[in-house]
Amino acid sequence: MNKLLKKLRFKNIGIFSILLSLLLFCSGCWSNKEVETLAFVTLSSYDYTQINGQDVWTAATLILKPQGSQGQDEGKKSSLSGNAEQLVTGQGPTMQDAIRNYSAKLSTVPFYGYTTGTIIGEEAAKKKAPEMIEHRARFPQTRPRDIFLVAKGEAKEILKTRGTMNQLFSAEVSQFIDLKATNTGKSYGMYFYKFVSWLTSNDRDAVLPQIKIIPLESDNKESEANPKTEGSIIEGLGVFQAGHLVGWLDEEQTIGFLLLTQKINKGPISIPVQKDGTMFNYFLSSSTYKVKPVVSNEEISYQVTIQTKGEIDENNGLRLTKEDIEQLEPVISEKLKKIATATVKQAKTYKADFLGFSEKLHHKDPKTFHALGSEWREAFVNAQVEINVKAKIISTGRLKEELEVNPPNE
Amino acid sequence: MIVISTAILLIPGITAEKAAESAWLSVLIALAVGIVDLMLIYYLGRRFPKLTLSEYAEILLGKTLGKVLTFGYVLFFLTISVLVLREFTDFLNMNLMPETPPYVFQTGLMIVAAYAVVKGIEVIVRVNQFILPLFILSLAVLLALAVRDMDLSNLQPFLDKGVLSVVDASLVPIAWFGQIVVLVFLFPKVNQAEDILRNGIFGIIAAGILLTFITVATLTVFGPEYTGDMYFAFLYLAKYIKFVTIQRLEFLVIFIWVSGIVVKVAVMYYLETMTLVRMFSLQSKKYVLLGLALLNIILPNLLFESPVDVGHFLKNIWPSIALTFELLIPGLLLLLTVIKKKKVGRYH
Repeated sequence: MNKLLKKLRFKNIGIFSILLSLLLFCSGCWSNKEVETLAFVTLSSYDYTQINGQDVWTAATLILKPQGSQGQDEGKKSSLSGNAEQLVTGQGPTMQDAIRNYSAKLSTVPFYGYTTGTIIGEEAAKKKAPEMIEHRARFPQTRPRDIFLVAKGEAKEILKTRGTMNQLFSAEVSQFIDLKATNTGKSYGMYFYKFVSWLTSNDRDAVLPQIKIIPLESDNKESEANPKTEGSIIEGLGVFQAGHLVGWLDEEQTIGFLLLTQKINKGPISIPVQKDGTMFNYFLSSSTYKVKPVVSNEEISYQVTIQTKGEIDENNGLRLTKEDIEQLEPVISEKLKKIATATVKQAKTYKADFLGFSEKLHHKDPKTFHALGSEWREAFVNAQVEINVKAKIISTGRLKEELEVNPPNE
Repeated sequence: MIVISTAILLIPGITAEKAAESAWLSVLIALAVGIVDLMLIYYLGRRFPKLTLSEYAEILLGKTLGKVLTFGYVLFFLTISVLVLREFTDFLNMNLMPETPPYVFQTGLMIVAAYAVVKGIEVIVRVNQFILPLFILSLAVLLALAVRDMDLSNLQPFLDKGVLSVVDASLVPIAWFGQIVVLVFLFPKVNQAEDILRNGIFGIIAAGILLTFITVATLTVFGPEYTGDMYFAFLYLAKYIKFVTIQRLEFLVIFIWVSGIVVKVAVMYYLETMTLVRMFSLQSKKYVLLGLALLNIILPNLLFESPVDVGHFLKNIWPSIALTFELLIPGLLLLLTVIKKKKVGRYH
């Protein structure tokens, strides 16, 4: 009897302990948070400047408005409208202090678990990018697939422009990076993990998609009660050397970057080409690239081969017979070579190997690469780069050689 | 399970820091050493099939030295459980519940472990049998979803930092694999002792291959430099995975980690308790259980002020301690049994 009682008592203590542990852990213990007490951050930006020799950081963030307050603000408008996000800003001598200062303006706690990403201001990218990236990398709520962009000018101003379509600005930006940046050739879909991986790499430099303010066309402006004259666009790339922004790539150089570094398989990228004074458009649907480092007599050079496939729909009156296509392909190849060469030239001007040529050398010939030591960027600048492009036209749409339009009366 | 449960999160970061893109090779080296270690333990155990190390150490070394050695092993197991508990709280504090005091996690875990220890080793083994398939399935899902994002060029150039860096990086995983030394205390409890070697080798190879895949996956997705900078690189990989609408799979890693740690701490706690009870011929294990539970709760916070301390200890101090207890001492004891073969024959 005594034994049984003892057994039962122990059993009860055991069950009680397990229930207590479950209760504690399942409720989140001290870290328990109710959703009503959280401010869901959707997109953040960081700017940096120096005033009278003092560091000044500006942290701005878009916070998702609770549904109730959206209703008050916008009546029966869609909950996904551009104003569903509220801009909050803070300033301070350190990044963390700036964040603390915008947090202080909120009654709720900022929650970054659903953030789409971060925009870095131009000045911050030039002077403080490594410190900023390290701060984000240490932060537990940062996710590897958070998008990262660099703003031309102040990043905070970009957040002010909000979305141009009827949806959240943060969703608009992240969708563009996910689905369109690389596929349209306008920019490059860069994520936090990849940016950090390139920044920390000892044989290559990094790029970030550029976001900038543009004036809105008159037909895209909002109503007079709420005049919106500026929007933002993701176009081109910011080039980083040793972790600091050193320059920009324009639209054509961005296409060059993609041709030289990416396996494109989800085009089409539209490329205008001219033949005998007639402009037509090459719709690049896929491309592959190969970079071969060659070391002879201590001279480093790179042989680049790019192969593309595409379509011609907008032929501007050019006939598209088999013979015509055979003549057009070298013209397109030449145009693509020109684009790629311009990008290599720009990379050399910036002394930034964001094309990953030195990385290829490191992989193929580690001895030569290590012998370069910290001079590997110089070696890239001095290296000969030979580019060969083979462009193919694999489709001319649903028509044969030419659409025969009825000629005018004589 | 004892080897891999805690290794999956920490090993990729620790090995990549030293061996960079060839970190996966250091795991394979550890696998090979692990097999040697198992053979050592097996042949030692075969000589005293009905005795644990604490008992045959006294036969081989004399009563006093034997007891000192046994107590050394108790401290060794205590160090492992303290380390594991600290890693456990650091992981939860860093990633999930930053405001919760570490004592809360440690107390909760020790209550569950104490319950398992009171119920005996068979219960711990049964729990392990239940968890292991789920553990492997979760890992397989995570690895399969990461495959399409792997960039194998991140594994080049091969042996860029030299062979020595890979050997150096392998010391920490060797210490992990060497934790199968627990078998020297569990040998008499095993029903079919003759199968230990075959099953053990299979287990070590499976754990080694899984750990190699995990290391390759983190290296090829994040690159060697970034992987080497992270504490919990595999958790970050789980956060990274996105397949159509499937994402935020870190809950799987948390499940794997917590369940694995419960088993590991329970085994260590069991060995600490039973060895002390046997060593001092105690009638009841109640007070030993309580005392060890308190030590396991207090020491992780007393010995290590921050995760930086844990990292430093794991990389620089732990391998030498671990290798002494996992390889050197069993090796010397085996040598001694060979020398004193005739004398120990009667204990077979």
